[in-house]
Amino acid sequence: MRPRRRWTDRLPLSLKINLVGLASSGAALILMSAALIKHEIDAFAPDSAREHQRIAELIAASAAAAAPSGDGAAIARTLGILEALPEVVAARIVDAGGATLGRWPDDGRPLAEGGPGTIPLSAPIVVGSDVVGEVTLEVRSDALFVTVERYVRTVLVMLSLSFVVAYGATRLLKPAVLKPVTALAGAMTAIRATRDYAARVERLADDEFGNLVDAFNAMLAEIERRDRDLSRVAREMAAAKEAAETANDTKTKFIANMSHELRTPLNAVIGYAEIVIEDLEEAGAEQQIRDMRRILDAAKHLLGLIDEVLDIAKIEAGRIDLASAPVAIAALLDSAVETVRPAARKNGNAIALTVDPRIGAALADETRLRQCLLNLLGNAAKFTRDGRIEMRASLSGADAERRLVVEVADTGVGMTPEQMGRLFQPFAQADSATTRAYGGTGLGLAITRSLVRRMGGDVTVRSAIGEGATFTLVVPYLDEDTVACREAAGRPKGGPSRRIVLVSPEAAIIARGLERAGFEVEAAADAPAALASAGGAAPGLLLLDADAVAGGGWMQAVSTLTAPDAPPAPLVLIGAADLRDAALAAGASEFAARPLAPGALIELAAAHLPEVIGDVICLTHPQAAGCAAAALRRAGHRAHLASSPAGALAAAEAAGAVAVVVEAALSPDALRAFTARLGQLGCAGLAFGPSGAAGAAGGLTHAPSPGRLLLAVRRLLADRPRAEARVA
Amino acid sequence: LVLIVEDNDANIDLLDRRLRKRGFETVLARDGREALELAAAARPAIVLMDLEMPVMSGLEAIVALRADPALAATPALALTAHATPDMRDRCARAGFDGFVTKPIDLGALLDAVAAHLAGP
Repeated sequence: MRPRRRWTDRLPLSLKINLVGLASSGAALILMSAALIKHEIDAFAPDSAREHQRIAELIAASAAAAAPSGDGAAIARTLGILEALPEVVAARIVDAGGATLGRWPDDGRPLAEGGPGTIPLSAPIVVGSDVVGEVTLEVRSDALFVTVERYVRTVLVMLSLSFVVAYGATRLLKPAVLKPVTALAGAMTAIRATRDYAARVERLADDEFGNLVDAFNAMLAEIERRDRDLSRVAREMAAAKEAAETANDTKTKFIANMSHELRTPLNAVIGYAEIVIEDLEEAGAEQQIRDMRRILDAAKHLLGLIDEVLDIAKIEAGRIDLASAPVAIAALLDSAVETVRPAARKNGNAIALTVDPRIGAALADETRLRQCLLNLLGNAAKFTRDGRIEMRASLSGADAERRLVVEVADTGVGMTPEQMGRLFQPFAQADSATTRAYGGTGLGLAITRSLVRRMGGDVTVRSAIGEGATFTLVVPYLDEDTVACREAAGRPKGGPSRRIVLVSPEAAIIARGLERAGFEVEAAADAPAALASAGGAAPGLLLLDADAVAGGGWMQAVSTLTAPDAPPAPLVLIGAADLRDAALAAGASEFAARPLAPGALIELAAAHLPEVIGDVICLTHPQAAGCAAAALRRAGHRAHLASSPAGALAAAEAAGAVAVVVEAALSPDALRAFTARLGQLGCAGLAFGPSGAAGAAGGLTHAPSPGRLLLAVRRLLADRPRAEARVA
Repeated sequence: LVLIVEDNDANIDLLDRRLRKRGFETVLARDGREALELAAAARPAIVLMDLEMPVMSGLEAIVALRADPALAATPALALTAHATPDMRDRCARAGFDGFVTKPIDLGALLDAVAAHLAGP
């Protein structure tokens, strides 16, 4: 629950101190004045009544001499003393008969008998024992308030004075009260800013603020202690982590070395066993041959297990390097199936392979891919009795995202979801009973998944108890077209530029050579200037001379020019030969060693900035079109896509194309008409199709690779006059 | 005549016996230095050399071998258990003509030997 806030909570402390001082002094004064007034009232009222009665009697006594004689002058004198008493309003002296002998004030006004606001008093005038007359006084009844009013005025003045004094006093006292508070607040702010919890606040007073400071210091000490504890724990944890990592690393190295050491003698065992078997075969000792074969099989099995342990150790240490070379995938799949076929047959299994005809050669690590396929096939053969194992390979995705999908399906024992969860963990076969029943280390699938993931793919499994299992291996399918598409996708859009930005002390000489070769060269003073001019009209290439930057600053310049926000142009560093590795590591795309070989830079520039040769219209079927166009563009052609022969002709006419590549299932007549129309446009034609290209200028077989397509286009363009003549 | 360079007794004996059984003549060396001396004296038709050996490693030995004009053209195959692409590259740059991984598959070895002996 939120405490209710009072208006006083919003006031600053200094104002509160002022208010307390003023309120207490004011209250004291007001109370004292009230007491005084009360006392005055109590004391005054009876006193004044008595006093005025006495005055009346006094006047009566003075008048006693004059009254019987009716001496008016004497009576007037007697009444004259009343001048000194302001509270007496009027007086009258009458004789025994009631006739007025004298009055005061003697202004002729009738005496208001018992008038409002007055108290009448009277005293008899006695001579001897006779009453000879009477004195009547009229006294103001508010006489009391006159006195009180006087008091109040005094009190107000005193109150004001006391406020001034109290304000002054609190002003003098305030620092004494506030200083410890402001000091504490300042110290707290400073500590919060510096996080210096070892600091302490000085105790300025022994009062409540002193206690507050003590409490705050105690809190600081607690924080400091916790900080110490925390950092100690963190240090200990870091040390423990490092120790664990070292231990793991040592373990991995140990396993790797151990496996290697185990293999060497085992290879001797296998080798000698083979020699002995050969000898025994010559001697025809059947029983011994069988025994030796058992030794050989066991040794080979042991070697396989050691290899797996070594593999997993390497994978855990991240020390697996994958090769990348063209591999005939279909042949690889076939040989994997043939390798497993004997083992499959031993368990009464049929084994079959289906391969998508589109699958050809692709970049892969043949050894490792074969290992993965053999693991999957071997597993299937091992866990299936009298069943069927099928390997199906297909392609999925398009262009740069093409993938090779290999499914290995068996009709074996199958797995529960729990078993599948553990399946790819190292050393975790479906259960330990399985290990005894089927053998193996349980590492095969863990290795397979790790390897396939390193290849940029994955292995997954579908299975149910008694319904067999299907493993699916998916890896990027890197054939020439996919690679071309990937490279094309990585290049900046907008077509190639022939512009080079050059930073070199020898800019004039270098630029002359490049310009003569048809490049557009712009010299810049330093890296930032190069960047500025590079930003203008996207250059195709940056040339940086290490000598252009004083000292070793070229590395800084390289990183400036290859920063992510710099234009995405390749950077060539020119420098002494020993800079090569550092230059490439720093981010340069190419390196040109000094002294520069004649034409070296031109060659480099030409490789990066291919000449724009002219428009080529591509007409292919949709799957291949993207890749073919990308390959042509990469080679410097402006390539367009068309979806029909008519569209291609229209585009060729509009763009003033120099060549049209057509992959078309056109009838010979249609193709001839198409070629004739091309001839009228002054355009070369290249057709490829299932049956070559009757009537077209160049012919290629079905679906050429981008490289072959490019070569054909080049040849076509070189022969162009002849091609035109032929078409004509 | 085949020069086999290998420091492991069992391995060199196995290779020796299996190659002789198939009609090759052999000379044996236990390390790189011995291999260079034997190569200079015996002029083998082909050298099969382990990479990890005492005294002088296979990579050092092949560089020295290639430096001798008389032996520069002799085909040489590296034998190693470390079949990494990086290792293949290093072997090729050092001057080996080929690469056979251990454990040695006799068929593959014989094919490689035959290919290099048939060549120029």
